[in-house]
Amino acid sequence: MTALEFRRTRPETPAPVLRMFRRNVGRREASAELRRSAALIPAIEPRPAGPGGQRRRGPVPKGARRYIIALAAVALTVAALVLPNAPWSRANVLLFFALAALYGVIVLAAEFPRAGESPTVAAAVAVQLAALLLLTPDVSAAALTLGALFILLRADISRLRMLFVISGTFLNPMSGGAVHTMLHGTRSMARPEMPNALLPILITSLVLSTVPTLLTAPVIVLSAPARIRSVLRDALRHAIPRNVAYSFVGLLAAVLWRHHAQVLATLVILGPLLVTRWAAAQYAEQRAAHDATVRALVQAVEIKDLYTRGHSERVAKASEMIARRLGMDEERIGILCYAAILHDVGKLGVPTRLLQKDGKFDAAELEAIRVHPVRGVDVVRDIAFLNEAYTAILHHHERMDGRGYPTGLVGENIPRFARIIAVADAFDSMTSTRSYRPARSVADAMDELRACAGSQFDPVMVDAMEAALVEAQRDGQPWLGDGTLPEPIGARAVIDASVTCHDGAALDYEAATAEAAPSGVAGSGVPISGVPTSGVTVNGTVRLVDSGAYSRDGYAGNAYGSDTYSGSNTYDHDDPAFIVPSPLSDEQQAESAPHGAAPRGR
Amino acid sequence: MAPRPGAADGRAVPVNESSIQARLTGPLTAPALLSVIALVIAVAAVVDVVLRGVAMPVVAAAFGVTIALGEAIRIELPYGRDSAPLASAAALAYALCYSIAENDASYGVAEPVAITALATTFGVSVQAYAGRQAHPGYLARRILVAGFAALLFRGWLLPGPFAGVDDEHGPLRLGVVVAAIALVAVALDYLLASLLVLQESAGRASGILGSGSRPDPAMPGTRPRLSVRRVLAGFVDDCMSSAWVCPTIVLFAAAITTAADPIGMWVLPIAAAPILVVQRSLRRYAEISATYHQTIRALSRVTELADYTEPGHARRVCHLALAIGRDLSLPESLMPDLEYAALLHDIGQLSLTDPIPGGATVLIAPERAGSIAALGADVVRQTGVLDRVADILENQCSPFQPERANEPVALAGAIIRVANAYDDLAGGALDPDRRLAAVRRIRLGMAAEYDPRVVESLTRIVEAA
Repeated sequence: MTALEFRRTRPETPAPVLRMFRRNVGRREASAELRRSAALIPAIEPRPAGPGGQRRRGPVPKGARRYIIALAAVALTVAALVLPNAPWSRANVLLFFALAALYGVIVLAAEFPRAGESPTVAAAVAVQLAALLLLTPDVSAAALTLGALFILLRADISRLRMLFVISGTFLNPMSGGAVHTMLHGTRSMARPEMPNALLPILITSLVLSTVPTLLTAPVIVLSAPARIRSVLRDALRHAIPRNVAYSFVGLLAAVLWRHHAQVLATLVILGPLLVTRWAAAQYAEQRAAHDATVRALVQAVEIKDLYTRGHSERVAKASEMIARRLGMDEERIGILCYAAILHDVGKLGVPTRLLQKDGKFDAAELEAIRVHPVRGVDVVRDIAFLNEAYTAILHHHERMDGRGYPTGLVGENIPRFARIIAVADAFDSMTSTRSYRPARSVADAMDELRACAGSQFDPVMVDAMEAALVEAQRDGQPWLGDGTLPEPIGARAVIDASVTCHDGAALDYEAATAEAAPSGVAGSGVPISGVPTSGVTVNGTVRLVDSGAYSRDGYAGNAYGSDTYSGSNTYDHDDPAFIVPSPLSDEQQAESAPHGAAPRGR
Repeated sequence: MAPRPGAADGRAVPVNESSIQARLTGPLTAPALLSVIALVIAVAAVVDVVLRGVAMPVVAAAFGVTIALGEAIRIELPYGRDSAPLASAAALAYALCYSIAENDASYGVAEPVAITALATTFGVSVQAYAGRQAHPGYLARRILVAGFAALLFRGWLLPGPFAGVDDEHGPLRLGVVVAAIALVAVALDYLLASLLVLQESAGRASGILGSGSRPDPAMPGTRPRLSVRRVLAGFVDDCMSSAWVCPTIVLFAAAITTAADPIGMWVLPIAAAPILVVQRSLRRYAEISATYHQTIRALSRVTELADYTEPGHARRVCHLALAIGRDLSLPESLMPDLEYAALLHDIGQLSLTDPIPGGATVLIAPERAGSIAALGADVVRQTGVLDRVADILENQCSPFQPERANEPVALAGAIIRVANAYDDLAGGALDPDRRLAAVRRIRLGMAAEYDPRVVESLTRIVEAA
């Protein structure tokens, strides 16, 4: 507590080192602020994961708090049992304090909210390994814990997290040291028997890298159970291998230290940490700049189409919700979000006159509209990392029954990203106000999507969208559309029921909706419900859908009933009601569809 | 060295003078010169090793494999700088080892140079095979740096002043010397690199007018600007922009050298693992940076797609603006902003309901052009990260103001104004008459509309092409 008071009473005159550090923290916070304000797509910002990286979402749940306190109690007990018997007299004093200082620097420099991404965890493991190779486990655990106490100087970390870090710092080297001793690992680094010494060191490093994840897992299970899978997957795929590889710098440092190159040993641990941190900071900065730039330029494109302001961003948001529900990994979600935000960029090639036209379209005009996905791909073709996204942009107007455009792909042949974006796209355009009709409610739009699942949309994606909406509502983040959503009268009754109920009831609700949603086969039999009520019939294939859902749910008479809706044929290619006919004749479709129809370009 | 572009003497540099200069400096480019020297050194080293045999074959194999691996996974950092930390550290350590597994490192100067040259060639070839060509002179740079370190340490210090230093304090003194040499060698590497990058960017700028694909080797106005001052400025820029990579290479070279004494060649895999982690994070940064660049280029094409501007207009303006910027010695730090501003200079036109005929802002009323530019600047400013680009865009329509002429942003705006006007008038035309006519028309507005220095520079570039 004294350290805490020190922090509070002397904020103006910190020591020079601390001041430098604070400046860094300030800068980091500023850039985090920028990132937050600039992040158009939450998914592009990787979610904090990994050791000590649980998301700060309100207060820590009681269970997690109890767990951390129990962990601290265990650490304290072990310390009380072990430390009095430690071989203090044989420990090298300089080494002891050097390790403590090194660990203190790392703890002070760590970026805790995003610890999984930050290289400091890897550096911490490296110092722990070096300590175990130079000192006995109990003495090194004591030295490192002494260093970890520096965390009390930080103002940006909750006390609970401090407790967690400190007790983790004690327990991790203890367990690593136990394994190292068990394997008869050598501690004479001056002339180690090289190939034989390596295996125990490797296993020790593996233990040191894994234990933090294991210690963190219960916290995540207790505070955000849905994340545990992705956290563990990330740890296994990225964090643990990286930490093990990085920890070899600890071995190098231990060898150097025993070989009378103490200064070099210290520097060699810190050097890579600085480069990695620098690169990570640059990366975050560039990524934020990239996101912000894409957003601003897409907004510039949206100037042209008055009623779709913010559409791209919301489609990205909805696509992310679907993808998350499907358990896609973060990297692909990021790419999907870029694809979603850029999906309509080709609309620029459509003359403004057409975008705002009232009245019938002739064949040439429909052709001009049809071409926008291809134009979109023309724009993004040179952006290398979007490779997977090209097909998503190209095919986001395909339909499951093969009557979409530009190539008339059928069913699973349509790229997965494109199927996701198609659902998100239609959902957002229905829940936003258009010049010729007001926004429809969330429940209403979901009804429409479900009605078209199988014929136009992939039922899997529609189900995922629905489940994601329910989840978002439960988390207190309901879908707001473009801010003009009507009061969800009927919908609220349904969704509220699931919110107020316990988890079991919510599951029931999900099950019920899954049942209600037509499966792919059943749905495809009835491609469009209802009867075309107004006159856009070009070549006999274009039909407006007057969803049966309206009258069924008693919405027909209100403002967003069929009167206002069907009376207009203003072009809105995102609306599921608006179908642009496929240019291919039926036979051609039958021919091309099984091959998965490669894009033909322009 | 060419005469600096005068402030406003109003006359073009005579064509024949610059072409003579181009002919004189033409064949002897810096990469060619360095390559020849490096080739001689490498061949001499290899011949020496072949004649005398390899003194320490295991060591040679271990370092050779590590260097080749490091080169094969070389990355390109933003601003066109190649970086292979593992290969650099290993090559330096090979040249600087004094004791391996408690035995004296008995190999001479030639062995590390020859092995480094061979392994680097192998690694570079692997990358070239995978489709990524090294910058010209890259290989030469690597060989020269290894040669420098080996010659200094093995040729002079180890047999001379440090002969027989192997007592208790020996490692410490040797370690300091090794670290110092590594530091100087890495600095030399960067100096050579900035020389090469400058040379290359000057060469790249020459392929800009008309065809775009045909590089024009005799391009005055860009090549002669290679001065000591610029090389040094580029060197400092580079050190700043990859600040922590250099010291880490030095550290690891010293660490490998020192730790090779007790544990022998096992030090290489042990040191390689963390370097690879470092390199991975650098690669992520390089990738996002490249993506950013690609995205801006891609989005600069939306105006063409919407038929607001002629196809290729933004790219041509960008190339020309960069060439003028280099010709006028704009600070390197301003160049990315100039490039983005040139690419996005017509973005404001998206707000127009009806496109301007041919997208030629030079032909419409200045007030209207000004408001379009302001709209574009607003769009760019919304990104929150491209403020300087937005400032440049705002300046692209203001007539020449002598009192502001030396502000970099105003100068960059003036460059875009001239480049845009030229491209609006000449288009992608290859016809010299039409190009010169465009230049003549711009010259009519010089000093009132356009910055005279920029127009002079444009004249030089167009006349030379």
